[in-house]
Amino acid sequence: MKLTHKERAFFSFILVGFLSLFVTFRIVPIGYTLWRSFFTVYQGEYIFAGFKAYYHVLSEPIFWQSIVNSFIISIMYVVLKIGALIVVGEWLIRHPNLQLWFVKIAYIPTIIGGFVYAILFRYILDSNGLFASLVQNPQLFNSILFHQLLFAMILLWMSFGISLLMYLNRRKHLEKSLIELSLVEGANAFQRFRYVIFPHIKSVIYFIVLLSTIEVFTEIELPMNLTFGGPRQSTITFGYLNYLSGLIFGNFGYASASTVVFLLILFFLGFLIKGIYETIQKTR
Amino acid sequence: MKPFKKLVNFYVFFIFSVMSLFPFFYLWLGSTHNNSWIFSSAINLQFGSSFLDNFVSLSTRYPIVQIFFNSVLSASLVTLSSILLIIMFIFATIFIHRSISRWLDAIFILFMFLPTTSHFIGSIYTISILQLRDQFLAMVIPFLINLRIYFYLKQEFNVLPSEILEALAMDGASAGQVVYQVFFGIYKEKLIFSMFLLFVSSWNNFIIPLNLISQTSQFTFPILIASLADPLNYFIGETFLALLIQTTPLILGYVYFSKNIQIHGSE
Amino acid sequence: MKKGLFISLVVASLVSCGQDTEVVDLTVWAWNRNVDILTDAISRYQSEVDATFSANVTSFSSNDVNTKVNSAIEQLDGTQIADILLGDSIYMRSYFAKWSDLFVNFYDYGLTETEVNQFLNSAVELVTYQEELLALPYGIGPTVVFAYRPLWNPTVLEDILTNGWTWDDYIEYGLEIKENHPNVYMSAYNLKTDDRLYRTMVSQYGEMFLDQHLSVQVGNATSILAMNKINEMFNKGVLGQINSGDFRTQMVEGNIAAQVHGFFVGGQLKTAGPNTSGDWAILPLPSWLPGENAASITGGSYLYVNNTIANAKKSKAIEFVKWYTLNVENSLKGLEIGGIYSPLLAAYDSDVYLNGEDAFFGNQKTLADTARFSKDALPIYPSQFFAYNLNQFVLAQEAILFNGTAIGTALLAARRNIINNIEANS
Repeated sequence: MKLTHKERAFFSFILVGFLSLFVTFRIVPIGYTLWRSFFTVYQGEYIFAGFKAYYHVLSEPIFWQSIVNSFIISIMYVVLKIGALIVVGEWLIRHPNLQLWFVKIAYIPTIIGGFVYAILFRYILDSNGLFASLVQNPQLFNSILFHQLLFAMILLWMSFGISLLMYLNRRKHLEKSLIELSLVEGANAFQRFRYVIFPHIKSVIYFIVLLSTIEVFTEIELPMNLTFGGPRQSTITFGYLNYLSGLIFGNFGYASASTVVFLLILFFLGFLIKGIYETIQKTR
Repeated sequence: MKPFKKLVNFYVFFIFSVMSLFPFFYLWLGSTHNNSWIFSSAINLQFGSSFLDNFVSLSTRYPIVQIFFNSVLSASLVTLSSILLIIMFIFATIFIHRSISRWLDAIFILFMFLPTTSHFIGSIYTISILQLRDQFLAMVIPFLINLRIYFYLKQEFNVLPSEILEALAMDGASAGQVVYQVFFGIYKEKLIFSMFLLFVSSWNNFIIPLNLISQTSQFTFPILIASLADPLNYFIGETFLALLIQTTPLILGYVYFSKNIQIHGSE
Repeated sequence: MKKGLFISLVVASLVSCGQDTEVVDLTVWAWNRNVDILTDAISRYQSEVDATFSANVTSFSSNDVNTKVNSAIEQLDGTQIADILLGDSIYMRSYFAKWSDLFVNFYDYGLTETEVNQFLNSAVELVTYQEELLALPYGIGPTVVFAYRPLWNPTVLEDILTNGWTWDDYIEYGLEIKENHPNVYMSAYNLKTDDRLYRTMVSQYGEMFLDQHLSVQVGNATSILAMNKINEMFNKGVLGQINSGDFRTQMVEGNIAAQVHGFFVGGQLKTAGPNTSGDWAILPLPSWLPGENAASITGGSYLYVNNTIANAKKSKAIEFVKWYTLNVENSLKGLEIGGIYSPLLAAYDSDVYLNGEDAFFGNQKTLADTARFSKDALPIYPSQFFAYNLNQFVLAQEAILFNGTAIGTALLAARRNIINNIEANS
């Protein structure tokens, strides 16, 4: 399509503007984070600290605990999410008249901010609140497993709608004839899922696993407003630790160094998940 | 078995709806009560009579009309500006600078997966350097780039049949008319869906504004809620009311736009 | 006529140039009832002292104030904080080592020794850094016990007021009350985030997380003693856990018999539970041994002035802060509006403090009693690492109370982490 000179100039201007915003608000902040990781503040000056902050991060137990916490919660979250998606998704495929309403209701929690849930659930789950009145088990409020599972379930509740939408979008493109053929061949439900349905939806599952894992690692609002990192620091995610160390403990150097270390771990994790996925692909 | 199956389906649907919607019901309930109800050991799901007291108390301490207006204005500005910018950028990369489009997309994908925490401290620094602290524009300009919406719309644009663009070119349509016909005509529902997501994202913006805005006159509702939800605070009925005001416009907006949102999802 | 109007305007503007009629708008950060107190003070200052003074008070939680100050210091950007801010004594001290120049040194702006001596010495010491006075005391936080009268035998209350009591007595009375009221605690907090009780106990011996030489006190003999007592209280059901941290609601509901907390909670109780007027008493803190000093002042709030603002604003801000903090009438107003205990020695000689009876507390002379309870408080030294140290301590407290970890093990682990943090940041 041919554009006039003026149109070309205008869209070039838009391009430059967009890229300027991108550089200013995405690349510069990361550059600052990297720079800041080598400096500390003392008596009103930036003092070069070298790799001291990195050493502090790597030797600090809470950093590794936040990684482990995030890992444990993300496993719970991903397993619950994928399980729920498959069960609910397949059930909805069989009941197309319910699909629209189900997705509409599931989508509502997605549009509300995480901090709203965190504050709301803080009062619902208080030791003198509604949940305590129903359950009558005070030990539950000290249980690490309970809080980590709760964390995963609230995240699931918040994001289930959008994941269900993605799943159904992909799933409904699977030709019915393939399912019918598998029935004719005598495949049971598990075999149908494994050999017909799963290959079709695996790209969506992979995408959801990746996003969900990152979501847990970077979650700030739930630990900040609901669990406060407890009990016994078991719900301190990396994102919350970053916030704590930067803005509560007042150590930008440490927070920046931990961000850089985390990004390296994230790259490694991304390659790991990709490698596992490709290995599974190759073995088929 | 059919009536039994129908009954099972109904109960599953009912339980799921209750689980999804009960917290909002509790929010509504809480805003009509005072502190003692919320921490009462008795299970009481009746509406209270403190709604007006909570409202008066909240509006005495904070200019909630102004704060609500700030939220609406900033979310609306981000939505409109961002969607126009993204649409025109997509057009620019496809029709003018196609060679760099692939490189840009690779970089954008990388940054799309980078978490907020990776640039959170840097963002505060950048916004401070630009003298945007305590400015209304601090709620708008840094949030104009939304890479997920960019990829979503670009993906849709990439599958647009080339015949449509050729037909428009043959009709002598200018670039602006092509953008209008494609995005506001053919992809209207997807555009509305994207705009709704942008609005929601901006409306719920919490962490970065909390650290940038200090004047009450510039507050948005998430910042107000953060102030109310301080563990040392004991105005819990007011906190519930503020949460209710924060969520109600989103739910109403969703109810209105859900038809457009779901058309995309139910193709 | 138009010419006349124009000339009048020109003359008026020329005349006004010679007068200081410029209104200087200042920003003030405060939290809770302090917003009302400062708003009232600003209004009186405008009418009594300086009509050109103008300030807007913004309400933030104290946590948010700390995060904003942290952000400003880490970016060495004073424009990020208000012109005047209400800060606590504990977190703010951590900023002095990083950037003391962010705050005005009041000695550089005409504050004399005579004026400084009007304040409680321990209050001034907390905000003095390298011989610079970086804030002026706004209120102090003497720790007292808020007793809910309906749960107590009046004779016992009278005996405690007259003769004092010990922590063992506290537990014993708690168990007696619990026999008749199983759901009542003596004190309750969010023990997973709040160190109030521990801080009170160790400060009775002048200790905190670190001493003034940055020697770690967590895990020493006093620390273990205090933690043992807290563990005993918790295991016997005398000390309760509130996940939300909102003990005030539990207090006005009558579920807490003797809450140990700062005096300022009295002001909050009046707002949260006005219909409980007359049901309260203020008791002295229990001591460790009979007759021993039980006083504790572990908190306080101060008015800081931003040193990086323009000189015109700075001088206005300093004058206002000096006027507010050095004026007994202001501290009495702060007491009346928000229950803030005055740091001014002269206030304690006023009729309000000497003879004032508070109907909310059953016509008790709460101020005179509190002054009597707190007069021998020992100073404590929150350091620049307070936020981290607090985090480590509450982690240990949580492990001990909720996970059954041995006290020595948990406290020593906290101690080790605190030492490592100091070394890493030195």
